[in-house]
Amino acid sequence: MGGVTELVGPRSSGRTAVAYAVAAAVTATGALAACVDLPDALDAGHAQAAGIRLANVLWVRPPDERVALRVAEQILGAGGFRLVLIDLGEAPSPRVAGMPAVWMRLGRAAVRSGAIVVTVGGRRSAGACAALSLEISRRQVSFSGEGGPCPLFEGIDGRIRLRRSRALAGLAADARLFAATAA
Amino acid sequence: MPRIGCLWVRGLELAALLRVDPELRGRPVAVSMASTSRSLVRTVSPEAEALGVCPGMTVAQARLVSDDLRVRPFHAGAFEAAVGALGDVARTVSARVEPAADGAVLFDCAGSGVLCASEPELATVLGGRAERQGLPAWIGIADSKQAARIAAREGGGVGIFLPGQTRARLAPLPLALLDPEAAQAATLASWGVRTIGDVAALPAGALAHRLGPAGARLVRAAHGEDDAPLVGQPVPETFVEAIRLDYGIERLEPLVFVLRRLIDCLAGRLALHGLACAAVELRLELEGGDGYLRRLPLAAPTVESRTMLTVVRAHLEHAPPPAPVEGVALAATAARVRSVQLDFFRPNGPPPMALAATIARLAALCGADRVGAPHDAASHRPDVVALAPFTADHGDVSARAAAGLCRERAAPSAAGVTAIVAPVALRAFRPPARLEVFRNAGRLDYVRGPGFGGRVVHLAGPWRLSGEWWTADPFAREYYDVELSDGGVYRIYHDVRCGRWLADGVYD
Repeated sequence: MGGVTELVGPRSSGRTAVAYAVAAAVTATGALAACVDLPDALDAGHAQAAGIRLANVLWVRPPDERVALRVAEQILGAGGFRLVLIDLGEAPSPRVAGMPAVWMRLGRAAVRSGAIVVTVGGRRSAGACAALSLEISRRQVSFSGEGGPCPLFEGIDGRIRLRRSRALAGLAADARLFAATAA
Repeated sequence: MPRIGCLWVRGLELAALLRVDPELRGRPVAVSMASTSRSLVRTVSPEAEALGVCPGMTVAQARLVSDDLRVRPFHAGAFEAAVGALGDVARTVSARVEPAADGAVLFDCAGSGVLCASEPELATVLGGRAERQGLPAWIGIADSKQAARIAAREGGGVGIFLPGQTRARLAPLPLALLDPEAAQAATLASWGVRTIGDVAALPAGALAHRLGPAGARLVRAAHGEDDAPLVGQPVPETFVEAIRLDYGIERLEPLVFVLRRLIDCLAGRLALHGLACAAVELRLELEGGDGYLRRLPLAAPTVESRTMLTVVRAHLEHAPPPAPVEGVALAATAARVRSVQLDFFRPNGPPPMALAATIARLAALCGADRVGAPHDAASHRPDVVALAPFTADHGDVSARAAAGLCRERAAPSAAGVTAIVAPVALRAFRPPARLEVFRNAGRLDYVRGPGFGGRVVHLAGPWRLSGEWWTADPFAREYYDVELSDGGVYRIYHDVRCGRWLADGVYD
């Protein structure tokens, strides 16, 4: 059963790591995923290191938000994509949130095609059309060997909070996220 | 006994024109040899004929008959496209198809009983298919090419000479159906020869003695015999449709209107063969005699005319022709429609045709260089992007292997709170963001970039990376991972060669 899931959080909170983990789980089964990359931010090396099978990913870099949502609709309309990841950038324009009809269509198309639509952004965009909304915040950033000759960036310790769930109304749940470097 | 079919269109020059310009249907139209007023009219529509316009008039004379008359010069491109479309119709039932010089299409229909119950039914099916291509074809079936051609012209729709009855059926028909030269026809008329049967009754040697080799050929044709056997032509790899416009088109919308008609014709012809379009070649004749040629490959073969039009339109919006357009030709490169083998262990992807159409539409929306599958670039630079064509065929993944990979990623659970461990991701900055860097006692202290900046809270590095010294554009960088006071963790580098500081991504 498909639907729209929002991953909302500030820069370096680990929201992209969560989105990549979802994409890795989906593509590992051989299913197809699409990445609608508005800020042109996908790094193939890190995506592959996260376990995403790049050959299974349709990567589209639209010029603006309006086209990005249209692209997502087209992909959902084609069917056969299990995941559509929409990266809206750090601070999605208020115009994106001001298109409820488009989000409603996206939600319906996701349900119809059984696809998971995951949006990644600095603020909520899909509003009431989101079946699930997760807020990701940063607790601390880990560096090892500080003060020594060779400090290393280890990862980001974050927290995931359930902000909205259409299926589990009233449920409050937290999770701890640790986004670690490959090293 | 061979059985030969013939598809023949009365006034093919005019039918070819009406096929790509259907607005002219039902109007008085004449096709002239050239666009000058002294050139002769070749073919006229029934509406023009009713007004008194007839072939052989000059264009100036025809225009005097009626002000409503539309005169169009003969266009070889449209004519060849119409003949090609007739050939495509014939190829739906026969592997051996031979287009004749006058536009008739001959085909071998022996053994067609496998496809249709009877020859009249075969003719009806072919007539319907030709009609859908915009060509009202008459169909003839007989024992020879010559007889089939006459059967088509004489039948007024469907003419069938049963096996062994060719000579008997030809005998009462007028001599003009053999298309004798004017001098021969006059000579034969002066001898009182009026019908094909009269010619067939003449001794071939005597007629050859008086009329030359043409006389002998005429007798053979009157017997329903061919000079050469049917020679099949292969299925074309490229399908072409063309139209010449009355006046130059400057704006995109009317041009797209014309293109839509041509693309519909192309899609119809491809569908007859079960083929898809892999690339479109757009040739425009511009005012002043210049040309405009573009080859537009599609992301994947498609049969959707809407997708083809979207690609062509997107290209014209991006690179409009520099002068008004006076003629348009579109060539579609044919490709086989791919079939898909379903997998027990892999979720079904989109149907190949739907995927092709979707990718083509996305390429039209975003640009062809912004749609594809990401892959590792053959470069030592960390910020190089590489894109491969996206296909749904991507090897085998067994469900067991997939489950194993998912288990690797499964979260270790702590009491009360679920813990998720995931590899950290890098959100790339393209192009890399230019930075201002401030130092304090030789140490990085403050970093400011477009939309971010702050004091350096934590710092790791440098990691030196250099390469491509064997090319004209080598690089040498010192990379740092920095946590700034704005909360972000950035990957920044110092370009040693030019001395600039840049950020190429943020960890997230």
